Amino acid sequence: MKFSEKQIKLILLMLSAIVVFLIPVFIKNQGYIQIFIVVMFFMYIATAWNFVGGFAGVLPLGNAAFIAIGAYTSTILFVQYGISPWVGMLAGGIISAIIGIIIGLPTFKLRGAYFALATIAFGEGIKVLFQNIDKIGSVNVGGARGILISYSGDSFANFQWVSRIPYYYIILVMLIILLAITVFLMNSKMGYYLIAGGEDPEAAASLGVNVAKYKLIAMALSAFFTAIAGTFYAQWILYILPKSVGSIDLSFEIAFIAIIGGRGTIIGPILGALLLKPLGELTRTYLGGALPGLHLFILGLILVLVMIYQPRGIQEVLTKIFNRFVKKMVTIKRS
Amino acid sequence: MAILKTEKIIKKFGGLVAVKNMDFEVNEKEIVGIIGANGAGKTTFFNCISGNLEPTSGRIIFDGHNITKYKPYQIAKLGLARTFQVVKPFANKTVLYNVTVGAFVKTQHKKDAIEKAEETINFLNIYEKKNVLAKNLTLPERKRLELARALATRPKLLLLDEVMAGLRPDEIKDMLKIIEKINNHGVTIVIIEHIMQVIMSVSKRIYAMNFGEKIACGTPEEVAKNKNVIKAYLGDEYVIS
Repeated sequence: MKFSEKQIKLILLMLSAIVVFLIPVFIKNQGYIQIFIVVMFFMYIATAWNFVGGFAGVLPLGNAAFIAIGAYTSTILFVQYGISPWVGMLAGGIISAIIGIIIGLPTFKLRGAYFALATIAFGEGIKVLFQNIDKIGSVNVGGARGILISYSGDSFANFQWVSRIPYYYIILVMLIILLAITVFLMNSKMGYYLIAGGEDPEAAASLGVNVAKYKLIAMALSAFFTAIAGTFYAQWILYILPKSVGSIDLSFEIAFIAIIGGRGTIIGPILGALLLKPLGELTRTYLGGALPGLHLFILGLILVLVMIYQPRGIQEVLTKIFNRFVKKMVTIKRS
Repeated sequence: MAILKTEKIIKKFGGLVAVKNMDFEVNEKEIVGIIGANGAGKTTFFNCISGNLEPTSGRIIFDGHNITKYKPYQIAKLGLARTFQVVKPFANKTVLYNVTVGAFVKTQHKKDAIEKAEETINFLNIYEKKNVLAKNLTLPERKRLELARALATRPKLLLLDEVMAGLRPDEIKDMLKIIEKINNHGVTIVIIEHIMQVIMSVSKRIYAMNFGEKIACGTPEEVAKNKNVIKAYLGDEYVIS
């Protein structure tokens, strides 16, 4: 049998998809499944970050705010009004997208570090708001105590299970959908215009690209999908508080993962989360007691090294190795 | 018929008047040159036309539209493309990708855009470079890419800002041929250039600028003999009266 490079890549992709789908069948340890969920969760939010941080070429450092908005919207709707988190998920996404556009309108005029600073301020602002507001009218926001979602039995409508496996499949499907959307966008006019505007706004405008419009669309998409992850987080942990869903640490971690993996590429955030999250979990587990916060220090160190030696992220090297491997497969099959 | 017309364009930066009362007209399918020393206001004038700067006062009419207050992307969509003096490629993308961005102006479909981009790349003889990243190109290649990208928008009018600066004489000859070829396809061209021989050979009409003002306008021969032009370029003592 002879395969072209493209076919081999497709086969490998299918194989890895099958493996990922079968993992819960073979691995019964809930602790390991939990780690897989964490990794995929970060793959997902880093991919959503990538719309703005990668393709539109600016550096948002406040994305945890969108996670918080998503988590709080669905949780408040569920706990106080009994509305299914699936509906709340959509509501949170839409609210988040609108806020994203409102934030994007003034901040996209800022360049480089100033945009990053503005988004940090926005992220912190949202967190402080959630921390200090106990009630808006009859709506209980919970303040710094957060909101506890009570467990009322396994139910799809209530987005609750004791087992971790349903969460595993939900985040997996969410990730696949988001990646499919990313691939589709990057091969469309929107993707070309977004990247052109990110590389050089002036040159893009001279070619008929409404740079501001495409950046705002990217921001709305990024905010929407990030908020959906917020709802997932709330239902997965069943407890949200401003510090866990809206912290600056989380905002930075999202950006670090995407940048170390390779911002502006589809595979970058995936590789970033795949390599960094298990590393982070391990250092947190084994060294967290003695040196809390060490995992962030290690992340920072890796970021510095990657920026010096691989400014386009680790995806560049890994893609090269992968392509060489595929080429070899082709020649082996031929001979 | 005039495809581009400017009326009394003034551009001030604080107290400095960079462009003063520019009346300018280009007819369809013409090649018009703009000459002038460094700082004469040529590029500022270009930026006013392409929408990168808003003129302090005056009016710009392109193809029947008053584009004075239009944004650059709106002007580009109307069919007025430009190149930049300092080339601005999308550095981390391939030549084909760069040109495809331009081609997307007239279509929604990637396939059409890529087809048009490949045509344009072929037209400018850089087809063998189509998969090279823009940052790895040489300067003459980058200038050509800049031109290809603008051309891929299928413009009616092309503003060329010093596309020949920094090129060797043989490269300049190639570029001149390309410009004439583009013009033969019905594209009107306005070109800024420093090198006198170059602009004289290619332009049908020339405007000369000095300190933001139009000092002469006419055929290349007329402009070359114009007293004001000689004064601006060489100094008072060279004026033969």
